[in-house]
Amino acid sequence: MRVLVVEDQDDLREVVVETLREESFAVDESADGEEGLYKALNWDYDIVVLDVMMPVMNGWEVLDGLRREKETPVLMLTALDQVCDKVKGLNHGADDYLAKPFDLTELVARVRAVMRRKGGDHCPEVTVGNVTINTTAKILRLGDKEVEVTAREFAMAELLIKHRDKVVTRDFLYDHLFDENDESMSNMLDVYVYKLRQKFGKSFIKTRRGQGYILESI
Amino acid sequence: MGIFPQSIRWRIQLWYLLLLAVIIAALLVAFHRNQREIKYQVLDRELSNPITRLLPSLERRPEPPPRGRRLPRPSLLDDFEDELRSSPEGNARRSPHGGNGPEPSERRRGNLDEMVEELAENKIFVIHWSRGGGLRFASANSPEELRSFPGGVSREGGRVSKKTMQGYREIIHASPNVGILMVGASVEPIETDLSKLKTKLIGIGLLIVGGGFLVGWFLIGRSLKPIETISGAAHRIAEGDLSQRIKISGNGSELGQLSIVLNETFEKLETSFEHQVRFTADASHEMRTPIAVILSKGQFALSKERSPEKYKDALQTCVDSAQHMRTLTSGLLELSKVDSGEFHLSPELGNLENLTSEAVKMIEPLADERGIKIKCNLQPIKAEFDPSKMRQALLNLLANAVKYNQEEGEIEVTLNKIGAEIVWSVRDAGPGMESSALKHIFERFYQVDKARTRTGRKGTGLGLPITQAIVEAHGGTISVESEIGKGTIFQVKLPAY
Repeated sequence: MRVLVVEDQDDLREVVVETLREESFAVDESADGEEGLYKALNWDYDIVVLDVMMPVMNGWEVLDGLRREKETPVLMLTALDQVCDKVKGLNHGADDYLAKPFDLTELVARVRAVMRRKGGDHCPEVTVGNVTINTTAKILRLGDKEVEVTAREFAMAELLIKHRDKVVTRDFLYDHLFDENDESMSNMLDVYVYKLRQKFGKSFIKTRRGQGYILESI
Repeated sequence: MGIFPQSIRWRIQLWYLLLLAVIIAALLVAFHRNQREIKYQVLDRELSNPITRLLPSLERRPEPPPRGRRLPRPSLLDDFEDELRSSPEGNARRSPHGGNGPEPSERRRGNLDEMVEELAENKIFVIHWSRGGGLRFASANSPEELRSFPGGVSREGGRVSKKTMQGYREIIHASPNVGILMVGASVEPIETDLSKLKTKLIGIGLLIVGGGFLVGWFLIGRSLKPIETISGAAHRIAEGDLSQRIKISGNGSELGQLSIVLNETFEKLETSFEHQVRFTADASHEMRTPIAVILSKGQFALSKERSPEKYKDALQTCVDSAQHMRTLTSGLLELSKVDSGEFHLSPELGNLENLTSEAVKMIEPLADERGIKIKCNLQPIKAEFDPSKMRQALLNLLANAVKYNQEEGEIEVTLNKIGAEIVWSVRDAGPGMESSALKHIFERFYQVDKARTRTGRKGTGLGLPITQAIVEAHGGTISVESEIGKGTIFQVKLPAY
């Protein structure tokens, strides 16, 4: 899952980015609205965490610019916590709203909730075949047995399960698993697919030659 | 106020009614008295007339003593025969003792009877006493209770006195010649008339007061209407709708002018309230960001086991944020003192040149970090000022000049006396500001471009407002000019004493 954090306050942006990375998201960051909008329009993020009070271009302008072209989920992050501000944010097309100062755990929970809703899953626990994923607890189970996975492996499994029964291209996987600063080569994807097949069985992820990968629910 | 109503309308109404009632009552009472006087005067005239007519008939004349004559009619007076006998006037009818025509006294007697009868028709009675107090004569319609000799009546004579007693009005003529003659009439008809008049007058009075009440109610209501409008508007404002204004009708009147003044007051109130609301919102917004940083950084550090470097970094961030909050709160405190009028100066005589060079020295390390040179052109000027506050103002300006300058830029500080003004200027070689930004530069929390300070220290947006407050407290002004790409110049002007 790839996230864009647009926040002008350096310390705050850093800590949000680091926290989300620890939650195994691929995170990009922007210190101002203009750059944020550019990135949001050029990559398909799973969610944009957007501050309102920013130099150059404020959060409302970024949101309006983004909504003209894309439906990327947006979580507004701001020091304005008047009801009218929240209403304004939601009416402008934001998916959720969080007032500063916030708890990091709440921020992560809301980011996950917004992404789940966008993916059509309302429950954090989804079972496909005999594999169960819990995105909140970050647990993958094969039958009843918990299987240890790395953060990247989990992120890949999450992505494939979210888009189950659909062919997921390598570009899509690459875009959503690695952030802008990640130097990983695209053949790292093959490594993660290999590792996941080792742990959950060969038929867990199928390869569609020339197209990508598919995870079939039946 | 106890039993008095609180409403101005009622109070005015009651006072007005009271006054009206007193005036009307006084007028009506005066009128009534006047009427009574007139009626009595008329009566007195009616009564005085017969006296002058009767007197000649009653005057004592030297004539032979009476011979057993009787009073003709008033049998009542039989008891006073002796008196009558001794009084020549008292004889009413002469006894037929000679047929050679009526004697003079007899004629008089006849006249008297006619007159008395005539008077009786007019309800006037006549009573006559001798000088000694013996009843000589009393007409039939005279009231019994008046026939006794009226004490206190002068017997010396020649006098006329008027009296009202026991429901009768009488005029008493006393003279040595005649004795005492009383002509009187009942005042009952007059009193009846007067009491009817009184009833009428009371009715009229009540009508006038009642009409006055209605007219007054209407007029007072009309003139108090603007007050209602004013209090209505004030009420709605008190309920929180600060946009309410009084609809002004007729701004020539006192209330119209009051409305205009009140509307201006409301305008100021609304503006200052809006300022206050915005200030509070801005202040809490500015506080939220450092709190958010401290909270998130702390939570992040504690969420799992981390390296010492991570902990150190988290602590450093928390300390930085707390320091930022300290600057912010002391700035807010200072501005709130300005707002509440508790911003006091402790001025002393000093040299502004020394103060300026001190401030420049304090800021130099900061300037050196960015390779910025500070050029000074200062003149020694003595003035009275608050040194610590003035230094703070100067430091704010210098710190801004460093913060918004370009690397290796230049700052020019001048201090001059131009005419009656001390002029300070701080010029930087920064990127300059748009005129749209200049308008807001002295507003609280306004920061032209937060991004520009990102690399350096974060500003609070309170420095310039505080500087302005300090300069204005010294009776001076602060202004700014800026040109994009060339730099910005702040100018402080103080009055030279």
